[in-house]
Amino acid sequence: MVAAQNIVSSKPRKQKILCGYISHSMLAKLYTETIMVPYKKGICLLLVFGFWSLVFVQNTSAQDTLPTSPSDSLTVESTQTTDRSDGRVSIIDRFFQIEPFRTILSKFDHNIGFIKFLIILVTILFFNAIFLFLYILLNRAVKTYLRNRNEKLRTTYQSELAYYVSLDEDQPFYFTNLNKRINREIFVEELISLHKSLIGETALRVESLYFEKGFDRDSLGRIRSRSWSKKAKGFRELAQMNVRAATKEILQYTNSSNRILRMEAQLATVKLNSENPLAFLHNLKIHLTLWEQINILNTIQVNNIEIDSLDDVMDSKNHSVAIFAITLCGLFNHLKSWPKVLEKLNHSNPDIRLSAIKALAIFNLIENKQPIKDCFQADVIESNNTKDGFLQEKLTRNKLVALDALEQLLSKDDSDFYMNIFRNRNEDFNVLKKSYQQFIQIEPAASQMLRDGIMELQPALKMLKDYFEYKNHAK
Amino acid sequence: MIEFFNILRFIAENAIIVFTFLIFGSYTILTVFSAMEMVHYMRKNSFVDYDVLLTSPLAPSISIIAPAYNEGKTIVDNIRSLLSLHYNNFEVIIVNDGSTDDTIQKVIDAYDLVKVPFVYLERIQTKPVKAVYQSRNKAFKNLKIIDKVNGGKSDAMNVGISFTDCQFVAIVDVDCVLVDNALQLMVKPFLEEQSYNRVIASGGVIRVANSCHIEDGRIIDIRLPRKYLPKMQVIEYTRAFLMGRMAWSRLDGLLLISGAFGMFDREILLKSGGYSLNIVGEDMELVVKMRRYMAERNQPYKVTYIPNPLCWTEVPEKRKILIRQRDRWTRGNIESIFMHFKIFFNPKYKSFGMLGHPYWFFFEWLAPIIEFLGLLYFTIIVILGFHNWYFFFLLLAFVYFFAINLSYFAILFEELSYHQYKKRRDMLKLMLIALIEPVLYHPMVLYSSLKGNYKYLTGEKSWGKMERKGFVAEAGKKKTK
Repeated sequence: MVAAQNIVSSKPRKQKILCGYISHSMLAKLYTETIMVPYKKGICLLLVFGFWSLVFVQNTSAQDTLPTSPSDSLTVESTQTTDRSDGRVSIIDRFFQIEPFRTILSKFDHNIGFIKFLIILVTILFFNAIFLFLYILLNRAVKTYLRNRNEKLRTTYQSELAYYVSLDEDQPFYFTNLNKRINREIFVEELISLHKSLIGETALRVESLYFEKGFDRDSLGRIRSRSWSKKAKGFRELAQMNVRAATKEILQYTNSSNRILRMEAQLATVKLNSENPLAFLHNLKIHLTLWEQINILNTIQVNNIEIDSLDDVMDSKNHSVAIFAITLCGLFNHLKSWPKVLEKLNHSNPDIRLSAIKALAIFNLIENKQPIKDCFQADVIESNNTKDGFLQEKLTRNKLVALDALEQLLSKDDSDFYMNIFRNRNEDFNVLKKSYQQFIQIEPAASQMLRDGIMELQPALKMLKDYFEYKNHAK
Repeated sequence: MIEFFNILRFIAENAIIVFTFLIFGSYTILTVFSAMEMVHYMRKNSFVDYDVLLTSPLAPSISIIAPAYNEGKTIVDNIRSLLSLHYNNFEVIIVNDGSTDDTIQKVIDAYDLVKVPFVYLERIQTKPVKAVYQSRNKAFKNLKIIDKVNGGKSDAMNVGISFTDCQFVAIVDVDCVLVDNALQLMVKPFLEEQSYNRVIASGGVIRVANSCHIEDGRIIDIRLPRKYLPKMQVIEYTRAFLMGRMAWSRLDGLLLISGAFGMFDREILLKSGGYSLNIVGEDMELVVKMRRYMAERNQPYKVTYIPNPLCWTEVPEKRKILIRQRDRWTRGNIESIFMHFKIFFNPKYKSFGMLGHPYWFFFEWLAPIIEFLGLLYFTIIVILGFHNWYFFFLLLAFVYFFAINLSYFAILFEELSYHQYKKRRDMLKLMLIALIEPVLYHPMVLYSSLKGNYKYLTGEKSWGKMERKGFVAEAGKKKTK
């Protein structure tokens, strides 16, 4: 309790400023307050560079530049650094009145424009190198200072939050300096991190603290910000703290062209829209990448979100959405969607057929056997009729997955199915390998059946026979 | 005669100056593009949780293929390092390319391996496979060792590619150290683009591991190399990977994914014919070939690059070995450039043909030759007394400060992004080394490029011996100290 009181009453130590001595942290602080974002500095640098180039071009466009003919290069040109017609001295001329540039320039007697350009360039590069040298050093100091400061704040808030959740609900508690922006940012990060690891009443308590301290307003402010990264951060916070009121606002970003923003909005929607977590898929106009699918699936699994029916989504014209819905049906064993999945075996898109076969493999119903075999045969025909190598590759992949799906469902009656595969001269080696492996399991007279003419037709079978016989022997 | 000589002087001087400005201009543009790409990547990456791939049933399968030749000293630790990578759906295939030392026996003993029957379709013609081994220990069930007749690195990789059924293959130099989440990071670009724009290859940053503290195939402490030559290579690698390749990734003109660590779409890799044999720059040639395969079939594709430091490798510490390595790299570049010269300024290949290939032609292959000719020309005019020392020093200052600026920008990128060298002293040393690197290191690189060009012309195709100290030796030395 005493320790806890110490935490409550502790105040951040003030930085001591010693006369005549500037510490690294002070320098860093000064730096962060004056120059905020490092990359903006880079833009400033480019602007300075651009400005000088512009000034140079303006001042030398009508003057001497590179020699245009051999004779020019040998002709001694005047070294005039003439004033403009209006009598004003240009910046370039002023520059070359300064030592040592004047002395350097005086050493040249032709191509003055080019020499001036080089001198200016060398000067810029020289100062830029010094600037970068100092900037890198200063940046290191800034980073160290910020890291230490944030770490200190983080530790403070971690202890305070740990103590807070252990207190009775009616006991008052004061957190250290939550008025500063950076303190609030670190506090909310810690609050969210804590909430992720809690369940039940304690989690609700943390949620109410989030609302009590006005962090919901901060998060909502973030999602209305112009910066996409702030928006995305806001989505995460609101989703974690179950701020369902924000669902509608977040939903409009599920079709954003910014892929990070889009995915964060999708994940937040899945979490917040408890009635129909995948409702956004109906209106998704953009391709749902595999990375997005993996993340959505993870959100569903981590938060134990119930997915009711996916039949409508499976009919989506957005093929990536249909594939994801079929995949989910399989992964969550949605047997009630079985007829719909079965229907997808006849889809024209081979990727949709593939996800349907995979889902049916998980269902593992004997009723799947004939439709999968039919799908396999259709793929064989399509594969033989196309010259598109990329399509053939997809169809081969489908056939391999179909064979996997059939593995548990096969019986001796399916021998003809395999014999047809072996008779196909264009069949892929891996399909033959898998088929052979399954065939010898269901058919005791496999060797005899294959010897009757098929081995000659399909030389790979001889190799496969040797391989599997050796394997069996090794067992 | 004098008039003719003056015309020659005029042409030579102006050509060299124009070329210098073009090359420096291209470096400036690349710096700007890499800065843009880096900022974009860093902001984007701050929202990514790679751990979702660790448990996802949707994570695609990856096969790590590492060719090994006489790696007996380090092979056991290197395999352990590969097996400990964080990913849920991967296998490790070590292809022993007819080692003459005890590589295979050491692996058999360490991982309890037994011969297993094997059958696979040789989609790329290779030297015969002698045996395939798998472990009896279930903990190593994702480890396969292929023992084959010696046929070179490319041949060994082709065997591995033919052998695996995985969707993606990661090609790794067996003596490199990968960071734990290297596969998660590397596979992500493939998952992000998959359907409408196929990602065919992805590369990552290679960093210098000399003097780093490595235990059990893992980087424990990152340190700046103690010796000067590797220190200078740290700057060179930072410049090349964080600036050059990042920019080319943005411009969609990336031609090279380092042979030390790269991930590829297996199907496209096989369809484009795998690694070419009997060349020394097989890594660059492969990417060019894969890109050509896709472009010639009008298939939308992408080659991506990620700036994360994923792979740590040992760089040469001796001048002789460095020159040998760079001479080989030069020959590799020339091979790839001229084997695929059809691409040169060919709009059919888009930015890869209009930007990437010409850049490599002019600024990677031609630049050292022009630099050498420039020096030769300068020597001649000094002998003939036509020189202007003021102009010489002015140009020299320009080139020198430009080089330093480039190095400092690279160090700045490193500082703002991955911040690998935590000690302030290390970074200070790096910046001071950057001041002498153009004077001490660059001439060596120039010399090796010229040597490479000469060897290419004379038809020499040897790899040359690449000596490595090995990380185990390094760690061991530390312990005994």
